[in-house]
Amino acid sequence: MTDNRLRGRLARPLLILALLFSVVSVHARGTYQTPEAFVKEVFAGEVPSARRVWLSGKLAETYREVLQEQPPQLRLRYWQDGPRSVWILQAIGKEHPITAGFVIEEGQLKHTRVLIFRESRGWEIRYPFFTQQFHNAGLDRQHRLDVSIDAITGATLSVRAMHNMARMALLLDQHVRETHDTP
Amino acid sequence: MTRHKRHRPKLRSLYQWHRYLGLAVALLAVLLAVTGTLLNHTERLGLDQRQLSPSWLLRWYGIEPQHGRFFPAEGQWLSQWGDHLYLDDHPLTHRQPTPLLGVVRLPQMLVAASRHSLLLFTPEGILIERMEAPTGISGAITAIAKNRRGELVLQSDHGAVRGHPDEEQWQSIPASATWSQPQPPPPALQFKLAALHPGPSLPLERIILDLHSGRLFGKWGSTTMDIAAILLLFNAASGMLIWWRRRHQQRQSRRASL
Repeated sequence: MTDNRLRGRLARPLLILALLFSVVSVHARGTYQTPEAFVKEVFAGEVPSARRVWLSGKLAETYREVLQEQPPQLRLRYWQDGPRSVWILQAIGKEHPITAGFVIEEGQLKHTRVLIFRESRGWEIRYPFFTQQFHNAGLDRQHRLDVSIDAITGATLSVRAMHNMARMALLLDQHVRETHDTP
Repeated sequence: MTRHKRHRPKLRSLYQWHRYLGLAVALLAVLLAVTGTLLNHTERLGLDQRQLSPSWLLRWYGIEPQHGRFFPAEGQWLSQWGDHLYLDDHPLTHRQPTPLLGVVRLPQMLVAASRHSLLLFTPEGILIERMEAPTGISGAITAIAKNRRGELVLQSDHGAVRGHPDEEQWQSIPASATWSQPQPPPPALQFKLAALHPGPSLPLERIILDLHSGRLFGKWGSTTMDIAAILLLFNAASGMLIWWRRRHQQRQSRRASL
């Protein structure tokens, strides 16, 4: 009898929570900010001409190794103004690509934002409590992130994709700073 | 005896309702029973494997038959079937969900345009870059062409521009050009690609399921099936009531005769 009462008391809040969760997860998918708007915001409307880096040779190998997928195209656009560069990258979370924007200054991530999220789970990575962990992250000697990123329960693959994209953005920035890849 | 007289008209009325409603929903009950039985044996009968593709049925479901769109590009054809792209008869790895508007060949690249992006391909069909909302072009792209000087010309909602996608420096020009359009391809190419895209079809299971639920005939179909289900419930209840009352009456008349 006590058990039944307890179940009865718990059932309704749990049902409401489940409904809320399903509604939230449906609305969590989508475009939070277009890549164009992100770039415009970073440069306060004065967007410099886009530069391009070819994803070929060793850089393509690095891309495959870090993001565990083939580069989707032969070259990638980025925007640079002095020491600051902006990168828009995509990586598969579980089934669908996540699009994120990264702002790098002097080899350190200054701003990270999830722009488009297409998965059904793991959308919590969009929130600042997660993205702020990348603030001031750079690369160590093994070309890995020099900060540890806390995982989110139920969003392991999305967290991994963000971690890999942040690392790739820093590697790309390092590559263009070293090689002065031309527009 | 008096009690019998009081009950008979009610019973008769119930019996009449039972009979008429039974007749009214008989056909639907047969339909539900037959389709329900078939659905219970979907796998054994292979209903999920049998595909139907008559054009009237696809039209009934609002499915448009898939056709390729072929764009000539100076000796090559770039075509789109759904989100699949082909350069001549070679499939490209890039998927393009939105319709292409046209294709032009520039030195060392093919440029394809959709409303909000430019796709740059190598002459071999490898994606060089997908340019979303190219800088300097305001509004959606509506057409693409190449002018006599070999420059790329784009028509957008806000006028025509010329330039090169690598430079992203666009110059406004008067809107006059021979815009790239889909063209009829060589029959051999059409035949080869059509064989790879047989077009949409529907599994037989889907149709039987929709027949069972009434959805095949839209909102009215499912409402009719709902009503039929309610009437069948009513008939089941009225049938049991008639049976019970008759049994009760028979017992009473037996007791009276004793």
